[in-house]
Order: sequence, then C-alpha cells, then structure tokens
Amino acid sequence: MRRRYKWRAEVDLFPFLSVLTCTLGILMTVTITLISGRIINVPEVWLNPGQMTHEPRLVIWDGTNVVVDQPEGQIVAPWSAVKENQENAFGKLLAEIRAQPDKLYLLIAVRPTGFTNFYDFFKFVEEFHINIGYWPIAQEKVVTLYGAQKGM
Amino acid sequence: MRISRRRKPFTLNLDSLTDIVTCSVGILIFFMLNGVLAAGRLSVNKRLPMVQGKTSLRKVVVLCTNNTARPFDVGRLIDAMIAETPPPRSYHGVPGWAKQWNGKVKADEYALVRAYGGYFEQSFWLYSSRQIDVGVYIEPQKNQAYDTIQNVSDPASHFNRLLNRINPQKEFVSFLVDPQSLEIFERCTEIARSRNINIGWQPILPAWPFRISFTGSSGGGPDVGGPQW
Repeated sequence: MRRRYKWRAEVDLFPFLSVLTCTLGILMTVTITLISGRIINVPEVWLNPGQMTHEPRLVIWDGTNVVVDQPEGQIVAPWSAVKENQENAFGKLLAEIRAQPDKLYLLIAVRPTGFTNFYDFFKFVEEFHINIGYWPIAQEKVVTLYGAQKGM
Repeated sequence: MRISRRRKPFTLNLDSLTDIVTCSVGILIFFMLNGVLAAGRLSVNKRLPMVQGKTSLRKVVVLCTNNTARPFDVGRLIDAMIAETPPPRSYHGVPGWAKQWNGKVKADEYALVRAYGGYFEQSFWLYSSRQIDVGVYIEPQKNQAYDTIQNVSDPASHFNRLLNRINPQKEFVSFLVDPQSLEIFERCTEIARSRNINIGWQPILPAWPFRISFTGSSGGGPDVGGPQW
C-alpha cells in the first residue's frame, strides 16, 4: 500500500545563522580595530603631582610646528610664522608667561623629529627670559595638561 | 500484522548553543565598547621638568643611542689629559704645549678621547698672525660595554654601577639622547630618580667622532647646535 506523506512546510534556519555569525564577526573585527587604534593613541593627561613651584604651560615641538596645548584644544603654530611675529597662539602664550614669571613656566615636549633643530627653538625661547622645562616624547604619543579635548 | 517501529536516530539540537554563543559575543562587544568610551583619556602623574639653571654639580654624561645606554664620562678623561699636560702659564709657552697636546689618547671601557693641537704662525713684513686650535675628538668605544632595555635595571648593569659611584651632593647625570632611545632614557631616569640623583638631558643626532674645541667652535656631523659639554 503506498503511503502518502503530507507536505509540511519546514524552515531551514542554517543560512540565517551563517549570516548572523558573519555579521557578528565583522562587527567584532571593526570594534577591535577601533579599540586598538584608540589604545595606542590614548591621550595622556599629565597631572602635576604637586611638587612644582610653577604652573606649566605645555607646547609640543616637532621640528616644523609649535603645538600649543590649551584647555579648549591644541593649536598648531608653524615655526616659520612664530619666528617672524608674535601674533599667534604661541606668541600669546609667551606673553602670558612673561607677565607672570613667578607662577608660570614653559614646558616643551620634544618629538624625535624636533631633535634636529631643537637648539634653534630653545635659543629663541631663551631670549624671552622665562623658566623653561623640556622632555622628550615619542612621535605618536598624544599629551596634554587638560582633559578630553577636541580633535583628540 | 507486525507493526515495525523505527528507532529514532540520535539528534543533537544546537539551537541553544548558538543562542549562548551569540549572547556571549554580544556581551563581549558591549564590554569592549564600554572600554573604548572609558579609555577616552589616560591620566598619569608626571614629574614635570624645569631647568634649574646653572649648577655647581659636576656633570656625568650617559650616552643613549640606538636604545642602549652607556656611561660616557669624557670629562674625567679630559681632566686626566690636562693633568698630564697642564696648559702653559704664559703666552710664549702655547706653541710648545699645543705640540705636546697633539696626539694624546685617553680611553676607558666606554669612551675614547684623542687630543689634537696645532699652532700656525705667519708673518710677512710688518704683518704677522698666529692661530692655535686645540681640542679633543670623542667617540664611544666600539665594544659591547653598554646596557640594553632588558638589563639596564639589573644591579650589575653598567648604568647602575655608574650610579653607585655618583655622589648626589656633588654630581648629576646628564643624558645625551638620540631619537631612537626614548624608552631606555625613560627607564634610566626612573632608576636615577629612585636614588635621588639629579638628572638632565639633551637631544643629539650622533655622528662620531665629535669634536670639542677649546679655542673655537665644536661640532661633528649634522649641525644641530651641539650639546653643551
């Protein structure tokens, strides 16, 4: 006797699971990539441990530009423009420090690309007769004296 | 009629396992995203440097190149050379002294110092000129007497043995650092500060030998202004 089987609709979920797994894999890869980039370039906020007699004002020297660190963000002043006139962010910073020499000093973070002509920059700043400190930092390191800033 | 019964084959339902895996992955992504948001910035207590101006402390130089560190106390070697050949007390003794000075060599495990000296005199009728150029060439020894980032913290490292000889009341350590040596420089400064030894540093682009002239300008390699010896 021939049996007849009722036709029953069946849904095979396996292609859907494959799509879901691929989507999750892509999402994880993108997230890991973003995290890796963020971890490597996490901005480092330098906190004064309370031993300084003067409050620092940070600039970053890379051989071509002077990057002025301010609470509202970091401003780039080309070295060629800085040498010619003081009507830029770095000139204003120098004026601020000169006005309060007992309270403020200039802290220079020197990148490896700035080693070549650092002494030119240092002699330029020395002529303003202000207190100066300088320290080397790695090329890719982002440093600031303030919290989270724009563009970082 | 005998009813035959089929044995149901063994089946494994993986649906719950996939649910668990998917939830685990979702939680992991959630934690990673939170970590990214929390890692917006990293705060560190940083001992911020400030130049202290002229000091009466004697400078002991440490050379940091190619992420290695070696003592480079050329000042001591030059002092020894001057002690053996003291400068003349009168102007007329200068030519003879320059001749004695020329060619002297002093070296230790880490550095080589070679003296050079020349005296030139020209005269024509009523015109005469005298020129003297005296100085030293310095360079690191071409040996393995240096510390790497792996062993610089060891008590028996060259750097720590140098710190053992330093009197913090009379001497400080001055690092000459090239762009490739920031890591070992940071490590060495931590070690020196932990022993209450004052430090300083200067950037260099080393090109050896480096010439220090006692009578004129110094330099060697790319003109970067040169460190203050």
